[in-house]
Amino acid sequence: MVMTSDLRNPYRLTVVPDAWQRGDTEVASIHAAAFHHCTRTLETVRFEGRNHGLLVLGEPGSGKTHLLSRLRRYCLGNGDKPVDPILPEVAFVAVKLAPGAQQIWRNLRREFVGDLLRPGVDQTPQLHRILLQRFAQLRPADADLTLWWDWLRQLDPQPSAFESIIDGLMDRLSTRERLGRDLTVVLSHVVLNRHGRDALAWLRGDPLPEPALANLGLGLPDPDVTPEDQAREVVTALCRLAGPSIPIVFAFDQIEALQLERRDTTGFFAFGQMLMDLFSRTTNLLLISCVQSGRIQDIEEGMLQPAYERMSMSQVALNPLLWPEAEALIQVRDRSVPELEARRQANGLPPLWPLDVRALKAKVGPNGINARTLLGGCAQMFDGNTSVDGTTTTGADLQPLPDYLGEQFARRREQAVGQVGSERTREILSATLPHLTAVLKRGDWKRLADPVKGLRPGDVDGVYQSAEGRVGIHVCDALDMRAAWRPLERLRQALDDGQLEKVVIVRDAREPIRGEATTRELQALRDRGAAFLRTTPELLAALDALRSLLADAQSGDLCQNADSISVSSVQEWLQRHVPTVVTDLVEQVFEYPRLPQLKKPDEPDLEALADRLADQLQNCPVQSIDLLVGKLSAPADHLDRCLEHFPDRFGTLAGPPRVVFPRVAAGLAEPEPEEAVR
Amino acid sequence: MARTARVKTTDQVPDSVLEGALIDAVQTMQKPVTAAVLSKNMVGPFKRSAAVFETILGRLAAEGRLILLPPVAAKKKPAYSARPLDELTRLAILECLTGSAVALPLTKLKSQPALKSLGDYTSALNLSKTLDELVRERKVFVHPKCTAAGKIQARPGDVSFGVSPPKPDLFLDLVLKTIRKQIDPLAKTLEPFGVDPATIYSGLVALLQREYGVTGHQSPDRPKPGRAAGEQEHPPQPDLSTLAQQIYDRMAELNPAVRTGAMVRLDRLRTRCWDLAETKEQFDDAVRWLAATHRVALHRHDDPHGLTPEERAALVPDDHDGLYNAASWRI
Repeated sequence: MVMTSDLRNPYRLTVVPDAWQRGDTEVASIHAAAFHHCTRTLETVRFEGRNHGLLVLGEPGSGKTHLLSRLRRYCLGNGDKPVDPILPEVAFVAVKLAPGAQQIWRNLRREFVGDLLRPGVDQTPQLHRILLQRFAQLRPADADLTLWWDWLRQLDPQPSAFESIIDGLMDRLSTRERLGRDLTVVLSHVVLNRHGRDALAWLRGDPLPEPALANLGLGLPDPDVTPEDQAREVVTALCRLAGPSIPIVFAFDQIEALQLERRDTTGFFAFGQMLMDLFSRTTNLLLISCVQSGRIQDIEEGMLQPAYERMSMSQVALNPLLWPEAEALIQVRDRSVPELEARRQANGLPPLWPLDVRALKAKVGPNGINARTLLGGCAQMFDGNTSVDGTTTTGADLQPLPDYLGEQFARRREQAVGQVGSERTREILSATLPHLTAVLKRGDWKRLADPVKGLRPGDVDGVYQSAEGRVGIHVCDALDMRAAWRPLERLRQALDDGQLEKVVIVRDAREPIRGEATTRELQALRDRGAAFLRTTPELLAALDALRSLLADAQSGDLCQNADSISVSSVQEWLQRHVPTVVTDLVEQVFEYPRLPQLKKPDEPDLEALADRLADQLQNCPVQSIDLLVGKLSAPADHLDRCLEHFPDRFGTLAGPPRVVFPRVAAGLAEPEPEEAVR
Repeated sequence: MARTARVKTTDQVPDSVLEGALIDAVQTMQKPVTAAVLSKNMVGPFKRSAAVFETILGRLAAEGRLILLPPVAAKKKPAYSARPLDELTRLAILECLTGSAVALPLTKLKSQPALKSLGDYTSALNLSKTLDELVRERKVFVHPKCTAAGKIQARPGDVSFGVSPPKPDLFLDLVLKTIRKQIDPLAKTLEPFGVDPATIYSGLVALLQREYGVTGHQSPDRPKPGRAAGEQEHPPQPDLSTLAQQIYDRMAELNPAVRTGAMVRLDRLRTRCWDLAETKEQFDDAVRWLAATHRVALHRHDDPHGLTPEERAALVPDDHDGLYNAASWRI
């Protein structure tokens, strides 16, 4: 019997993770009508100068993300694409949605900027292409604009002369498109390669300390403008920056992931509002929304009718594949393993060997089959031919679901460790806490949409209510702590007024607490029973992995050999396998004592002491304990207990003299023992 | 078309037997028949020329055993019947009305060929008298005259006749306009709360069904009012392919964008096809037939267990536990 055990299974990969995935296999005839509909609509946006909403519907695995990937290649090209005013330019942004209706604009801003700065095939980011095209309109130029740019740069040997040209162009562009001062300043930095890291962080919406803002030439953000409003302004201004001649494709994928559970429509509502805002503030967008056909009713009923009408100005459905299309897809996958065809020819085997064509045709049936199910079936048949004992099995034994989910979770957590920074704490907590309360059965906590009296929108990042009361969560991610005390003060007032029963302050363990007023307000909150959580990279990575698992399950993209894994299966698995760091977090947020825990007079507040210690070590990273006892006015045994309590934040060297130093976060690595440091 | 009698025998027959055979042949005819027709249809020993038959039939009419209907035009021949004239009139009226797609007023009815052949007997007086009898017997129904807008004109005598009661559709247009006037502001009021006009109309249909015992498309198994269970008569249903074609066309009416690749929700489509498919099973069969013939693609619901039983029942099932919630044209 001819075996395939030494060959790579060409049908194995069945999920396209996002629109930026390189597409090696493509059958032009599959969903050709839908693809052409997308490209025609894009040209309509360009020529008519008005936005258009296109709704793409299909079963899970029907090829929605694959279609977006194909459209991305159409928009941006696969090879070198010169930046030339006579060539049509288009920007492409893929937005994979996730739970968190309260920060939908901030998420969009992050994804938008991330894609605009993503290096293209020729290493030129989309933002640079857009700016070159716009500059060429203001200071007429033609042919290859990168050459023009180089010429402009060398026009005057003085760097300041070039900078003044760019500043002049940016000012004119800003006036024409109403970009606003801050965005204009930051874009100038980006174009001139100045303050690269801080400029990009500002564009993404990451918090920056005051010195960094000052360095960029920016002031502190207006406290009366909410972060969501700021994000909306930046997103719409960047859309205007592209101007009428450069349409931007926003490809919204996994819209179902906005739902926390089946009947939850807050995410869809917020998404609809966002679309309406984009429609009213811009004129050059093609907004493609990919939705599972089974969720169309939820989405239609979850958003306002005008929003739905804008989202679905035109519609395309990705139909299940009939046999000719299915066969073409199989053949394309086949060609990715040339040895397979060689083996067929050498042994006189039929064209699709080792697949059972009759069984596949039956599987396709009269109504057709979606691509993922088809390829999953092929993969199983292929694996079934790999046994070495000469017998053909019906398919490879599947890994047990808990093991598979455990493996997925571990892989995602590992990926997140290097990618998820403290600036995403808010987003990750919002997306995961509601799931975790349900999964861990910590009472019937519901997220409140209504504002709390006396608090401003940025003061709380989520208010949860149950029969036990209301808990307000404040993510304190300001790098500059001078203004951080104001929301803390209002939160204390909310506790005093009975608007909240409990307050939870969340701050990254790597960020110190500074400022006299902030420390005082934190202490006052602690005295009223507030919990102060320091998030670690390990915790954020675990939460991000959970978020990603749940979002994929919600949108039908979490699959084991082409079979979608339901949200309830993931939740069931989570009940038994939630990491301890996550359980601890949920306990600290939602567990009571409801009444403030007043500390005994002789009980040291180790957290406060640790913050003060971190503050001291900020300027001088290695200091002796004796010196610190004096500086902190704390007894030596309190300081010892503090160091024992926070081994991940501080390290000690035995000495003499015994010294203390702050630990630098090192991903998931366990803190090194004191001896090793020594 | 009138049925003709064909008499078969192998031997010559005497005149008396021939007369009996002719009377039998004429009696089997619903409509009056001419000698030529009989000559053509009689075979074997009964076969005679039309002229011979004309003589015998004339004699039988004179004896009162048959009725003679004089020709209505110069080139026409007399016709004979064994039925009384009022019965012939009744039959002719029913034939005309059954064959007409619309209800006919008296003037038009009188000029129909079936009645014209009865000659002078079909005077307005006689016709009115016979029509009255038929209306009383509920074999014919009076249709009021109405304007294009559906308003009934109350002039006496200005009526038409049909073999079934007037369809309420024309008159309901007016009612529908009135309802729309009421529903449109309501729809605008409820729109911000996520209630779409289709849902309001569905609710209205359900309300009508509950309040008036109307059996529409959603409760086809209930007997119709006024009929005993088991006696219900469904209007003749089109065959599967015809029904499927009608549903296919309705998809485009419901959402014209299906022509360019959009999909329609099957629950909405079924509501839209309430007048085509008497039961959900008929609708489901027709939709599956469209899928099997590759004219329509059905879209499987990914999580039917997450739906309420009512929502799940509205989906179209297949033979393999699959449930479908949407359909699109294969273009």
